[in-house]
Amino acid sequence: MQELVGRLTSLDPEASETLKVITYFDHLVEGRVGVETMVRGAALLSGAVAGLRRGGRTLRIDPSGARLPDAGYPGEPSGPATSGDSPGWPQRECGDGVVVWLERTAAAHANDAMVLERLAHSVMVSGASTAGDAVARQSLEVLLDTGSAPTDRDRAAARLGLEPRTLLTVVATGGASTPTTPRAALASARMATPYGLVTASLVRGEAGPRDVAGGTAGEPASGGAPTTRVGVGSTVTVDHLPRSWSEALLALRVTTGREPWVRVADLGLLAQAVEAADHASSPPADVAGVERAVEHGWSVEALESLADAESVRAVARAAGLHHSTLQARLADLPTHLGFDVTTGRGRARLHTALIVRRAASARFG
Amino acid sequence: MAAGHDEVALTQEDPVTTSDTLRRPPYDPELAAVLSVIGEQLPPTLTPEMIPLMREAPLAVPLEQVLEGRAVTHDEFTVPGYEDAEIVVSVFRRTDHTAGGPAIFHIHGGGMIIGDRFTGADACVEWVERYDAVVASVEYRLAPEHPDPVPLEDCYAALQWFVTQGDTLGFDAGRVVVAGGSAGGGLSAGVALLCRDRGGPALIGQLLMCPMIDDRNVTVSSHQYVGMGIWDRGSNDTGWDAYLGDRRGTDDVSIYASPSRATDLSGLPPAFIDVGSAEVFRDEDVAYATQIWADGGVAELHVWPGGFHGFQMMGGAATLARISVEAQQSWLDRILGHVAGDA
Repeated sequence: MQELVGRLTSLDPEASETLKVITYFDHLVEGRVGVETMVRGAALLSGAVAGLRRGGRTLRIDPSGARLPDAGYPGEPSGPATSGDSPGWPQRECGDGVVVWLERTAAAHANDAMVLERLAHSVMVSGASTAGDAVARQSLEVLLDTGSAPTDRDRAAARLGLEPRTLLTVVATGGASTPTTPRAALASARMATPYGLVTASLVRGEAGPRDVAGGTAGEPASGGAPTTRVGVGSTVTVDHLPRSWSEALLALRVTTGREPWVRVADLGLLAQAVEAADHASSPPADVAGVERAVEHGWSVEALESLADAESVRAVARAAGLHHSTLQARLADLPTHLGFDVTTGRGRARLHTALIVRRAASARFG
Repeated sequence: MAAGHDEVALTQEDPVTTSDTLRRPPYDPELAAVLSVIGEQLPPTLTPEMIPLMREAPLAVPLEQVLEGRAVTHDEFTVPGYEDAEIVVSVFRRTDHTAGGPAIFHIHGGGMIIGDRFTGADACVEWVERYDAVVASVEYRLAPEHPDPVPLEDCYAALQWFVTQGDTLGFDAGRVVVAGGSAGGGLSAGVALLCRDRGGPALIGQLLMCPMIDDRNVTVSSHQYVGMGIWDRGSNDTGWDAYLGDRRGTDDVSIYASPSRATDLSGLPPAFIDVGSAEVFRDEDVAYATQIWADGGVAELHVWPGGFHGFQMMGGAATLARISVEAQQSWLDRILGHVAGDA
């Protein structure tokens, strides 16, 4: 029987066979195969050598399925098919540091673009470009740990292709059942913290909301699932990554459903207030005051609204009370809090206490 | 999609398998991808009405293409088959062939009903090149026009002729391996049994690639793959019905036609048996190896996880296809005394 079907050979160079390409890669993604199998699929379907470069390592596979020696990749000056500055082969990026290509030297075949597009997509959704890479993950863990030996740090930085002066930002994600990692992450690692499991990701340069989850961070996830919360540390050189990581975690701890994306740089002195409370043996008096207010029926939302100096009507809406009822209860609030919230200083104390309290009670994973 | 195959299975009217809860090994993901692209060329279930059409279909790889650029010659011989009917045997040799080496007698697959002596020719040519073997491939007559015992007896007669040609064709008649895939694997097993019981040519090995050896179609695996993959339960019914007619499933079927029925597998040459875990033939092939061991024989068994029928030929570049072919080659290396660097 099988003899009559023949073996799977490369697709017709002339005819577009989009459906076959999509079906093939869909099966690989569904089957959770490794990137090597994906690259082999691209070689098989295109009839050309297919390649992938990740974290300084290159994988090349010919159409018969055999692995070929590393000969660089087209984006590198040393790459074999590079002429001048223009890459000689069709290639695509799939996450920072991960490139796939087809070593097509003659005219492109009808399905080349689709094969490359599906290969890049499959590699990306497989997570192989980020969290799936064990070497990158271990290297990141070393770089984020203040206790790592300098030689280990140097080796880890080299494995990730980082120069001493490269500017980097650590992004902490949590909250959703499977937190999204930044698209452009050089490496990601799940970290056990006192606040639960948090994913730390390393991003080149500064990190904006668009770096995470394709720009959807902060927007409600479909189906009412919790949104990924994102904390961003400061942008530093390799040596200071442990600081960026602790800042990213701190920023993550103060995110809310309304503000799921927080940069430590936006917190200013508030970040130090959180740190001071972290190191205190008992909760600060202002935080204890907030606890008392909550015990006496004040919702956190209503207190946040008060701290933001919103109108009584807005605060009443947040508290779910009629504004006249709220007026009466406001009179009692200073006895719970221990300070007056009608002054600017009082609102600042309430705001700070709420943030410190949120950071202390944050739990992820 | 794997789920797509499941849905197809539900459309089959089979009392045992019309359940979507049927458990079966899944296809290897890479092979599932291959199957999704290539399987559409062939319906999962081959019915008797489809036999003429299947025979007209062009072969996947034409012989000229297989031989192109390779230093291999092809000669055809007309030889006496069963009851002296004339049948054709193709012989492949290296153009720089050195006499005195081994030979492989190849029997093609195709469910006893389709295919010809060039199906599987690329494997034959590989053997010629690697071992400088003389490889013969026999054009046995097909069922249902020529039911049991014609196909098997044609093969046996052609083998008898072949071993007399050692001096002419330049091989050691004492170093002949019989080899075949699918129905060809079943016929190879049958030929090995005939050689044993009739005092025929002394074979040094039997290479049985996912062999079709049990007409009863009653194993667990024979019920697990219906309306899906390549050569499903229904196709197997079609093949065996054509081969054995009304005798199928009765006591009137010889161990040569359906080697799984043999209760004594002693005295056979060393066997290589491979099969996919996700195909109809899995359990009968595993049982055959088990019986050989029970009877004190030599067998090497490979069950490739998630392999569909014929995956090693169809999925050429896929990992499992590659390593399964390497396993066959490794066995042939040992049987033929091949030394790396010989070829």
